[in-house]
Amino acid sequence: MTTIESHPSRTPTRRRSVARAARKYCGSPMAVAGYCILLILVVVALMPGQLAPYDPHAQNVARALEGPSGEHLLGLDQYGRDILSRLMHGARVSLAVGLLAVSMALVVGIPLGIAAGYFGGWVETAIMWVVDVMLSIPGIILALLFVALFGSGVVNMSIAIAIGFVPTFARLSHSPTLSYRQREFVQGSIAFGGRSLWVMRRHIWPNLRSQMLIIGCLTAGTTIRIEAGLSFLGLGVAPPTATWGGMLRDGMLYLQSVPLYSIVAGLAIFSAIVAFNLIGDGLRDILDPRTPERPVG
Amino acid sequence: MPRYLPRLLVRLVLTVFVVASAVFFGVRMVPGGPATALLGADASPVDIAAVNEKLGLEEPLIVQYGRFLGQLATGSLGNSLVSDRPVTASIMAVLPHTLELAIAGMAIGMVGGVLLGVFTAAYRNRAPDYIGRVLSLTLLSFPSYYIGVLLIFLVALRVGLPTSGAAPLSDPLQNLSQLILPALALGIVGTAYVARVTRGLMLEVLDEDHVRTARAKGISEFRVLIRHALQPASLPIASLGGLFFIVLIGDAVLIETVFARPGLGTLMVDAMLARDYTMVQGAVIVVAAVIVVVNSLLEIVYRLIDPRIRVK
Repeated sequence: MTTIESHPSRTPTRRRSVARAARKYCGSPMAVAGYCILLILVVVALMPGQLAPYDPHAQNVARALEGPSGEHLLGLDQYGRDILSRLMHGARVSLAVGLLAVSMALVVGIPLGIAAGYFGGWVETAIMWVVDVMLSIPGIILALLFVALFGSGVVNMSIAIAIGFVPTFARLSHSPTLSYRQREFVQGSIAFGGRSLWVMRRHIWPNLRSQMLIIGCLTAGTTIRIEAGLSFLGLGVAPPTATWGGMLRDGMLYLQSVPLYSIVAGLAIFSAIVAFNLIGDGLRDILDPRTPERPVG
Repeated sequence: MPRYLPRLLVRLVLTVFVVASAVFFGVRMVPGGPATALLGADASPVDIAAVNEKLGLEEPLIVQYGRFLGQLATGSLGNSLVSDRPVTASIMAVLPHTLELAIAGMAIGMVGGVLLGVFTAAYRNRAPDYIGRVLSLTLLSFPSYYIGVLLIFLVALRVGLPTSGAAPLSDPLQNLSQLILPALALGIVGTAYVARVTRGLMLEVLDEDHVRTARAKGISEFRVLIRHALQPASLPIASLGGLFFIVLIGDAVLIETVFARPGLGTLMVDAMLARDYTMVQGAVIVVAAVIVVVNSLLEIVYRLIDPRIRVK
C-alpha cells in the first residue's frame, strides 16, 4: 500500500529538481498549487479580524453597491459593507463546517464499514441495509432536512452534512475489509487469539488508511460545496454572519448592475473546492493510484 | 414475469417505509415540538393546541405512526400545514419539471462526458489530454449553482433567454428555452465527472491485448477507439447512471432555486423556510421513491443489455 507505483502515464524526462520534489512530496505541481490555496484560505479563516481591511458588519448604506475602488478593492454590498472583508470572514464558516463534516463522517462511517465487513452475518446485513437506504437520498436533501428541523449553527450544519457521507465511507471501507478478512495475516491473528477490536485496529485499518485519507480529502471539497449550497438557499448560518453561499445569493439580485459581487463569492467557494480536489488527486498519485474515483453527492 | 421484478418492488416498498418512518420521527423530535417551531416561541397555548390537533399530535406516538403509515399505504401524504391542500397534489404538479430537468442534465452529462473522456484518452499524455484533464478537474470544482449564476450572467442576460420559470411540455419551444440553461448548469459538472471516469476506463482497455491485435490488423484508430475500447468500457460507464441521477436530484434543489424554477427542490426549500412539515415530509418521501424507481429501471436495463448480470 505504501510503495509508490510507477505511473504508466508519466514519461520519465529530465525535470528540474523543484518539479521533481513537488511530484515526490505532493503528487504533482498542480497539487502544490492546491496546498498554496489551502494555506492562504486557512490563514485567512484563522485570523480574518487581523487581515480584513474593514469590519465585515460595518454598514454604510449611502455607498451601497459601489463598485471596486482603491479604498474598497471588491466594492460594497447592498448595505454598504466591504465585500472583500466579508469574503475573508466567510472563509471561517465554510472551512470549519467543511472539515468538521468530513471528520465526523469519517469517524462514524469507517468503523461501521469495517465492523460490517469483519463480523459479517446480521451485523453486516443490518449496517449495509441502512447504508443502502441512506445512499438513495441525495446528501444535500438529508442535510436540508436536518437543518430545517434542528436549526443551523456551525455544529448543526456539520452534523447535517456529515450524515449524508457516513454511508459513503461505510460502503468504501466495507468492501476492502471483506477481502482483508480472508487474508492470511488477519486469519493468523485471529487464530492466535487476537481480539476482534485489536485485529480491526492493527491489521485492517492500516490497510485502509491511505485510501480513506485520499477520499476524505476529495470529500472535503464536496462538503464545502454543500455548506455553501445550504447558505445559498438561506438555510445556512444566519445573517449577518458572512457566508460565501449567502453572498452568492445576495449578489444574484444585482447580477446586472454589480456582477462582481456574485462572481467573487462563487470564486471563493470554487477556490476552496479546487484546493481539496488538487490535494486529493496529488495524494492519490503518491499514496495509492488505485483509489476509486471521488464519491459524488 | 421476470424474477427480479418482485425483488425490486420489495426494495421500493422497504425504502419508502424506512425513509418515511425516519422523517416522521425526525419531525416529531424537533425541539419544542413542530407546533412551536411553526408558530414561534411566543405563540399562545390556544394556537399551539389548534396546530397540535390538526396534526394529531396529542395522541400517543404509536397511534400517530399507525395512522401515518395507513395514509401512506393509500398513497396520501396528508395536507399542507400552511395551505391545507393535499401534499400529493402540490408535488405531482411540480414533479414533471424536476424529472425533465434531471433527465436533460443527465443526457448532457453522459454525452458530453463520454465524448470528452474518449477524446482525452485518444490523446493520452499529449496536449489535448492535459487540457481536457485540467478542464474537467476545474469544472468538477465548480458548484453547479455557481455555474447556474454564471450562465445567467454570461448567456441569459446577453442572449435574452429567460432566467426563471418553467413551461409545460405542451409548449415545447418555451419549455426548451427555460430548460436549456438549468440543464446545462446541471450537466456541466456531470460532464467533468463522467469524462474522468471514461478516460480511466478507456486507458485500462486500451492497454489490453485485443486492442493491440486490432491495431496490428490495421484497423483504423477511430474504429479501435469506438469499437474495441469504448464498447467494453460502456457498461461500467452506463452503471454510473444510477448514482449520477441521485446527485442530479440533489443538485436540482439548488439549480431550481437559482433559476426560480418550479420543482420538487423549490417546493421543498419553500416548505422548509415556512416550516410546513407535512409538505417537507411528503417531498422527501417522493424524492426517495423516485430515486429507487429510476435506479430499479436502470438495473433492469443493465440486465437486458448485459446477459452476464444474473439475479443472485
